[in-house]
Amino acid sequence: MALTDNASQGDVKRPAPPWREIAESAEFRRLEAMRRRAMLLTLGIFTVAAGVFLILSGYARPFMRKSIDGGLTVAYVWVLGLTVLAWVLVWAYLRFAERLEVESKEMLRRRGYEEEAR
Amino acid sequence: MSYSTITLATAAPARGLTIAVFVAVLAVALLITFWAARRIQSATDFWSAGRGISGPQNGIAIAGEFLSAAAFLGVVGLMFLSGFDGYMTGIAALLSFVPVLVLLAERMRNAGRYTMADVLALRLPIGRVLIASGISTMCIAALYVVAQSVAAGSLIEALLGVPYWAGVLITTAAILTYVILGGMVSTTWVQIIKATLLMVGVATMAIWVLAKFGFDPIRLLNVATARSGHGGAYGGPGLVFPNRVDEISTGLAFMLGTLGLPHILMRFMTVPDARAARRSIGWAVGLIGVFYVFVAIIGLGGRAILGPAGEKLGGKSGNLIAPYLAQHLGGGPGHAGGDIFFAVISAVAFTTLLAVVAGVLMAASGAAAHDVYGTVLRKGKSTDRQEIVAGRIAVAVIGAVGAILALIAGKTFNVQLLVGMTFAVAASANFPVLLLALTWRRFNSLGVVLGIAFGLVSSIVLIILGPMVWSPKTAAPFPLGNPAIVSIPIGFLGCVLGTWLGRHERIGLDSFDEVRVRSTTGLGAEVAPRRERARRKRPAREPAPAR
Repeated sequence: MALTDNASQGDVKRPAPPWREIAESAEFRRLEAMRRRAMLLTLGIFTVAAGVFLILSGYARPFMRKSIDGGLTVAYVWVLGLTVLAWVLVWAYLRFAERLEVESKEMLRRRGYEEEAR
Repeated sequence: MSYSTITLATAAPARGLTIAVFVAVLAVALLITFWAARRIQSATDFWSAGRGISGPQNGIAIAGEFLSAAAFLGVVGLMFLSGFDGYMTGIAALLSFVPVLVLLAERMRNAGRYTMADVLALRLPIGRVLIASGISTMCIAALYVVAQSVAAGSLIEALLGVPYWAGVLITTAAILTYVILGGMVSTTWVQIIKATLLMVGVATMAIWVLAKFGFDPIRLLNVATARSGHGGAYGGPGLVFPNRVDEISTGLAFMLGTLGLPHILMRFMTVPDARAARRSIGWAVGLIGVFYVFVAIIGLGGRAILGPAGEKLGGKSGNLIAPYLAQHLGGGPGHAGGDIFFAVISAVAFTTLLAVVAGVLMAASGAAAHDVYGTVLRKGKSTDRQEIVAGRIAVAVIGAVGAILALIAGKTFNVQLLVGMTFAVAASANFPVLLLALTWRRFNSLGVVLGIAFGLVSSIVLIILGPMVWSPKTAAPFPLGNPAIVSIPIGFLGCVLGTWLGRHERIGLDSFDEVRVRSTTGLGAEVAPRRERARRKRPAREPAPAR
């Protein structure tokens, strides 16, 4: 088995990006704020739905065992709802992240990082 | 045959057929390994599959990595024994992918190289950070290997008639061969094939179970509840976790544990870019969600169809209910259909074990060889060949330690509960440091070391002091089977305390901006070798002056 050293670091020397300057720019801060809002919204919904579920599973067991239709209980309905919620949250965040990536690549292009923006 | 009048065989059926299917599974995995071994030319190939795995492929592989023997045999067994609580552990694990997507997937891909520790090293390039992260990864890997090896030993003992210890050793030897030779390429393809087989297997079983109840899930629930002997309690929380706080703690461990599981986080390094990392999660969540719906049907079907008689076959842990239900669905012991379905479902479970342990060992080998040996001991001067050799030795050692611990642990544990403990350790030791390294400017190397130490030690000590380890006749000093609700805050406390004690350290302050920009935009992220070669053919351009 022939081994070569990792080529991914590249031989073409390019100056290190000005991290501090990019991080403090208005356009990067706007991108970060957009992402933070989406993160907080997604995690907020997730935390409330999952947290309330866990607390009720621990401290409201008679309620969770309550029958809706025969053996179908509140607990089963809630947990199936959480499955659907996970799918919806992931789908919504993926759509948002695509938009954010377009804007992020435009920012990189404006700064001359054509290759990284591909 | 009516489900109320069935009789069950206690001997393994059609042993010859089962052995033939097992050998076929091992042979296919071995072929993949030899094919993959020829493609390994660099460390990137060995640990990150050359970053050539697509989003959908990686999503299926994540599902393969995540849907372990615990998720299949363990959840089915828990649902059979205790109803809803088993399902809760599965869905809590599914939910964990929401914070993984939002907090870590893209950031790991943009900031990492091979392992979880690379992300920490980008912020805090100090040896003690890598050593702490390496120790934590290896402990989690060893615990995970124990859980899967317990399932492997039980499965092989029941199906092939060999002793438990021999089952553990056969499985460990097979897995070590695959991982040592084939690296991440073979691990990924074994995961993909395993996930596909598992989904087809559980879908077939679930549809078959539903067909027996006229495709009426309410009727299935009613019969399962009636035959459980627990009445209405079977449909709600509390049977597995009589302690209320333990129920919450176990749910928390499964919801947050994935954010610290090194073998899952490592998968984000195998894709070419952040977009593929995100898409991986979409595929994984879709597949895992559907999987747990099927598994719930199978678990309830086990109770409704096999009834109390199934308790003898499934064992105290319930781990073997799924294969015996398959046998019954196929016509029962002695019928060709029953024996074939039994052998196939058993082989699917066995493939699951192979694939998951292989992934966990890859993560451990990356931590030992790349982080500790290559970066700390050799100070980045080791060649790819040396790191790969070190990685292979690490795989052999950790695999052997896991097998020995599985032999000591014995086969009476439900594997899903064992995995829950591993999730608690991962959530306590790794999750706090990763989150704070990516989001807190003042976080420093002492914060990482104390965070990992507090989280790791507290979770392991509390598990040892808990009721899962102590004899049922003796009151355990710590009342919770899963310590996550206590040990996760202790992990965060360690991070904050360490950061305060090392508040004069400056090294992580400047790199925080790099981490922020890299993780949000992908600028400076590791590039797939294939893309890098294409990039080199184009003339290099200087970046435009910053505006």
